[in-house]
Amino acid sequence: MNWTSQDPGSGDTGALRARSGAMNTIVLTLDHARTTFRAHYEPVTTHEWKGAAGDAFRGSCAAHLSRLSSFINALAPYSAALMIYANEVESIAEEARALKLRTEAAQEQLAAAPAYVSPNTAAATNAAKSSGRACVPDPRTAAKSALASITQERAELVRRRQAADSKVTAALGGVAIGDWAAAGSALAQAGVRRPADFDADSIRRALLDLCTLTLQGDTASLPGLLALLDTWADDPSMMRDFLEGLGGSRLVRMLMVLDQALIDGRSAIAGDVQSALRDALSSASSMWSASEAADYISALIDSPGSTLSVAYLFGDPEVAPMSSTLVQAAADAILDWERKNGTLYTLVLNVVPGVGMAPDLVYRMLGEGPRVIDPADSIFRHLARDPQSTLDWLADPTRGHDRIIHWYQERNWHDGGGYAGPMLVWEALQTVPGGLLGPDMDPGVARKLAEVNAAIIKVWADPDSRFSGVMDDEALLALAGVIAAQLPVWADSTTTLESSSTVATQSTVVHWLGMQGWTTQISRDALSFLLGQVRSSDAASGALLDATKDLQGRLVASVGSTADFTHNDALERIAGLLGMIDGAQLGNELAVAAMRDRTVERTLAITGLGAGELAGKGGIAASLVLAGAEHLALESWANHYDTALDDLWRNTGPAKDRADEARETLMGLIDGWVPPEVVHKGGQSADQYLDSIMGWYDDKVRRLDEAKTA
Amino acid sequence: MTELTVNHSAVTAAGGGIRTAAQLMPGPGWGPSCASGSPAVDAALASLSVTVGEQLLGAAAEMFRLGQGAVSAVDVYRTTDAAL
Repeated sequence: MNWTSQDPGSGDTGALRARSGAMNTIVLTLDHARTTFRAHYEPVTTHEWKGAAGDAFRGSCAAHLSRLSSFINALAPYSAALMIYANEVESIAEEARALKLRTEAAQEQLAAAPAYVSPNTAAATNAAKSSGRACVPDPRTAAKSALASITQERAELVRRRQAADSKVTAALGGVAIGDWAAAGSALAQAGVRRPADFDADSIRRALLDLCTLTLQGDTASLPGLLALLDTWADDPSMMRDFLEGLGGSRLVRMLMVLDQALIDGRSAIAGDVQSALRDALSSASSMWSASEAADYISALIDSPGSTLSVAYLFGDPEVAPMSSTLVQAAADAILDWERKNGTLYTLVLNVVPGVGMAPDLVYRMLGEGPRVIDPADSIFRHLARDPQSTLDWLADPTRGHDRIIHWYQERNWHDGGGYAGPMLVWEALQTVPGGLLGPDMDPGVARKLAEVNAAIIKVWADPDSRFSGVMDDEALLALAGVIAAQLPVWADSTTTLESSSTVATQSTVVHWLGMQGWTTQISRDALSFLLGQVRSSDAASGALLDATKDLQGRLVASVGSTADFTHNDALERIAGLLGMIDGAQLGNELAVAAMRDRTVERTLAITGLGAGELAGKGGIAASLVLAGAEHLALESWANHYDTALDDLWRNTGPAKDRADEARETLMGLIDGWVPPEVVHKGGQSADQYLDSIMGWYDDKVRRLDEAKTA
Repeated sequence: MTELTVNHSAVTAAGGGIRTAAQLMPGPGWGPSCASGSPAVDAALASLSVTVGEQLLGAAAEMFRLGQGAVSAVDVYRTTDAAL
């Protein structure tokens, strides 16, 4: 019964004390759990578990301990506040009971007193007052006086009760520690109501139950689902069990239902839940074997309307990277799907909603019409992140070649996400650890890379199956990266461009690097074709020219760094590179820059900078390739040299002019850099020496011209 | 590359112990409902009971996750070691 002004002490103080005691028990139990928790995790030092995961474990435990302590500290005052309140209510109740008795007595006295006081009695009373003698008060007046006093005392009790209520209500304000409440609420909603019920299966079932509610259209359960997913997202085995329980088909439906909730404005956090599901797949993917990943992804892809969801799930390699196992399984599943259905696994949208999964995944407009979402693009951007694993995948003796055929020949990426994906993968492969030009060259890896490069070149650039689409700048920049990575080999090889059509791999010595290993030998047709592709983009042409200039700087700096790499060798390869550039007319498509016929003079100004100085600080040539030329001693010289070459390459004049300019540049190098005893060896003139060098230039130009003509 | 050292039995034991500690945490349902005599106080108690109950369950779930995570990590290490 609620208290009233007549009964300000009403309330079940026994129950209040029981509540206080229960809270005290909770605090003590929590304190015990905290002690037990600490006793278990603190011994797991770096001696027992060293590594990033161990550090994360200790960090999470320390954070949880801190939050648990804060929680206990916040709960502890509740017990005391309730006890104080119960005592106060009890005190008020006792006083109220006393007042009640006094009230009853006063009322009885008032009732018993005569209603009329005689004049004699009044006179006697007044006389007694005047003389200072005691007198018997008027009973009626006395009773009234007592009742008035009681009323005041009761009012004071009411004020005390109001004060006690306010105080305890304020003290019982809720305690919030992080997002525990959301996770706890979600578990309770899913039927996991006691910690004693916890096990991996109950958590998994709770997640699945909340997903079921979501699929039934219940958006109220989303905060709880989000909290649970956030809590468990970094537990790969839990996420694996959860996602396997959910299944690929229902995962797709979840993402679509959440998308609709966003579009309809029924939930502001549906996007966060989608993101959490993607994180869950990222976490789970680390646990799957190849066959498990294949099973899961097949179910996902075979689900109706899965395209957008698959693109979304693989759409953020930085934040939610999927394991290479899952990514490769996804690529294979899409390959199979596209072969089976004879069309691209893409989604064409006439209207793109402003929210949900689609906006960030739309690649381009097809005119004014529909837009395209291509999961394979997301997947290939993932593949590019792990070149080592991707190289093995493409070199797989059973299916590797089939993969290259599909992704680099059969598939019309132009109608999907564009060619950036496959080109980025190809470029990434060039950086694989153990490759010929990479650190710690591994003969097996170098051969594998050479063979995959050859296979891709063959299907991409072979005259019988030549790529005929259009690539955007991102794809062409990646292609320029592939060519730039191969230039040290292609500039060196005397067999490069020998054949018109054969692309092959062979074990060869890269002379100027002093390295031996498996390399890709490209045909002149294929190289002409690849350079022709690059030529269609100013950005890609510029990037390739920069790489070429960088390589030539390294060639110059490498003279003398290996036993038999001479000025002749460097100049021949520089001439060959110039020939490749001019033969492909790479410079012609660039922005116009007036040909300045005296720029080589600036190269001449770099006198006294001999080969020894150029190479001396760079160490062996191979390290120059790895380190880049920027940090070498030739910086000031290279700046002028770059300018001269830049002017040369930006020349828009006819071939004859380019050749003249190449001669002039090379002669400038000879005059300013090559020692006289080298130039005039055997009594030859500088022009004769230049003629011998120009053979490399002419040869490359001729072969690429032939290729273009053919 | 970070050096990796894992004492499987020690980490498993720690994870298991933490899981058990979590399961022994107090659960929701903080005492019987009572008539304090004041509607405002009753409402505050009811609200606090729900909040504390959810926090307790969430805190226990977090502790359980940490223990489970340690046990799972050892399983992953063991599987990886076997694969290697």
